[in-house]
Amino acid sequence: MNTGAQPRMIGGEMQVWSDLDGRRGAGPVRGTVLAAVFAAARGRILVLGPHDPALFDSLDDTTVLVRGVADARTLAGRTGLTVLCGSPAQLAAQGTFDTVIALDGLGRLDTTESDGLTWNEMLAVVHSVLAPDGLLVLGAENPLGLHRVVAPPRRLSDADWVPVPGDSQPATLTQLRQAAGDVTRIYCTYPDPVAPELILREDAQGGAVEAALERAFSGARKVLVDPARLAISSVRHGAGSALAPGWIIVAARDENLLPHVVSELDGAVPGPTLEHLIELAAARRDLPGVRELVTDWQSGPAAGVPANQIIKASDGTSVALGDVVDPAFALRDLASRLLRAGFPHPWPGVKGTTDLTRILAAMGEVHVEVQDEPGQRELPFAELVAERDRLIGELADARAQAAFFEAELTGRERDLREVREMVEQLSGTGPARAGQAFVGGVRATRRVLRRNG
Amino acid sequence: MHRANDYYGHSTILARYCGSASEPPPRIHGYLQHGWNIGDGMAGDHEYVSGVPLFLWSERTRKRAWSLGRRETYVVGAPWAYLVRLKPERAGAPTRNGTIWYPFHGWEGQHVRGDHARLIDQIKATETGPVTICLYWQEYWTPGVRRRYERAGFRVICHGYRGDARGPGDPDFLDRQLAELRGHRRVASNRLSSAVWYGILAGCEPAVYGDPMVLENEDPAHGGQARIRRQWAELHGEQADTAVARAIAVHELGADRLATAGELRHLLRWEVETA
Repeated sequence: MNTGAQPRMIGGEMQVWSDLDGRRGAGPVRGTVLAAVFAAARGRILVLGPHDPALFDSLDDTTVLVRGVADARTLAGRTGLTVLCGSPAQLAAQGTFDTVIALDGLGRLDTTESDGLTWNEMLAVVHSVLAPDGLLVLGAENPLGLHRVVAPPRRLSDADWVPVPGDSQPATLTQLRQAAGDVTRIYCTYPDPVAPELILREDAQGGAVEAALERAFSGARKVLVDPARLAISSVRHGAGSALAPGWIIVAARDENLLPHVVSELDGAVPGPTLEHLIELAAARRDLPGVRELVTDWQSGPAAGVPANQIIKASDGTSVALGDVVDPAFALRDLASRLLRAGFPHPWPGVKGTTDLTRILAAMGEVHVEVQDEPGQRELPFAELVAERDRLIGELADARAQAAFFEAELTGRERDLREVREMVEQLSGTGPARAGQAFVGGVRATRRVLRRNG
Repeated sequence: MHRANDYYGHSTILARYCGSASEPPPRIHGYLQHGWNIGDGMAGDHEYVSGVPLFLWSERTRKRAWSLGRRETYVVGAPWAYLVRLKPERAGAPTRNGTIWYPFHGWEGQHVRGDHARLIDQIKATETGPVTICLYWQEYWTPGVRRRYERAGFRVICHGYRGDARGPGDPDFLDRQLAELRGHRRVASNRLSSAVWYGILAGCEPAVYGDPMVLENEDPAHGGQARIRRQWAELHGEQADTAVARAIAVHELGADRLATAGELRHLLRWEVETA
């Protein structure tokens, strides 16, 4: 075992390059959730490509291949780690491994100094160093992943010296599966294949999955459409793996050799999220249903937990997954989601999130202090367009209403004028004067009578 | 914002439910459905301004209104249902007796063509207990019509003035109606109308029989009387199944979908007035 401080240069290495520092590309594959994937590794391990050094902490007897000399030097001091630097074309001389991990895929292995390896050629190298009973753990970015669908066109980085993948790179999950090995298991990664925060089984569904997707995409900025909604939709329609940003494929010779990658969602309570139930009721115009759900939520211990982080179990109990924030915040969060463009909410004339927050509180018969706050959420581009169209409609409505009010005002002014004329006529005409004279005469007579009496 | 919101004291009832002491009641931001109808809930002769919410009685009306292009709708239930909730029937209330009968009326400017005499004969032949005839104010103040029912031996009443474009109606119109309905065992009319639904919700057994009388220039767009008789066949006839009638009335008046007071205050834009 090599515990020395020097990396071994195997040929084709890039002298002035780092994938780990993130300045010339996406940075290393990283994320604490990946520890579960590394935990499945066994025997003699080979890690290919840029991975966050923190992920090596739990590994023994591990060899790592990187292409930049700077990265090789960074990793070389770590105990238990053999560091190779160069092109995968030179790997054959390193013997075989029980586990090969390449969570970044095969896209950042080749170097500027090689003749250029195709994806298939690199996979062939990987297979050639994998023991017959070995385990292959391969990451892949989904070219049609929703992270790409929702993103504006990206600029090329220094790492894109050949900016498009070669023909041999699998275009579908089926092709990837066929390329990877005999028996495979697929995991989907979100929100970003390089920095996943969530790993889901291929067929994962349900409220806990949706809650986790909401959390995973909470930091999304400058997007065309809301990625969390798209991800949740894809999972609900059985297309989760088709649109997942990234895949991790675990392949082995037979089923018994496949490990179980532990997920935070193992053993999650089944059932939909409270938000989903409220959305369904609101979309169906089931207002009593909305009232009941909001009342139940806001009168219980989870009042301060956002509705998309609460699971309604089949026995009617609620399980809070998220942290308790504050009921006003949780209600506002729900209101802003219900007001998202395209969602057919039933509240007419509602004037923004604060307004709907107050209505929801009233529907649940709770008293919460709802402050006037501007929208916190950066709108995806599609919602901005919808918002613009909504505002155009609202402006037209406001003009129509102004015209109505003006006509109404004219009508009431006419009524007032008629009443005034009537008052004037009654107070100024002959009979009115005669009446006043009569009343005056009666008063005078009464005064005289009183004096005399 | 529409003057019809004050018809029958509707806005006053909602203000009472919302705990507003404002007199006159605060202005409703939107159109409040003011009578049961088989169209989009709005009166046909009302000007409609886009973007202004429509507060409807029932989910069925809302769906129909949507299909007719109305989008800004919200089912709040009928003001009558709020009144019934505000004034639950007392436990030791006097026994109900006889029938309150609502001969179908036209509105101002409409003229009913029909035979009052034949209707009176039918009422006499059908009703076994004392009969109270409730006339629309216009007929009540038409001596010929009123006397005709009085001469038949019926008690003749009027709940009050509905209201019009110039001014609101009697604010306690519906209170009087509720008190009268609760004094009777049966409610009847020659047309299925708001009064019959109100009566059912107030605990009366319903009946719809007799010449439905034809209005001059009646709008056939939504199917008219023929459609009403087809769609709500269970309620037509001299007797009806009370439980079935009640379930339908709850639905038509939205009595199962009433908003909370706080919700209504926000929807009608009364937060400021009642704060």
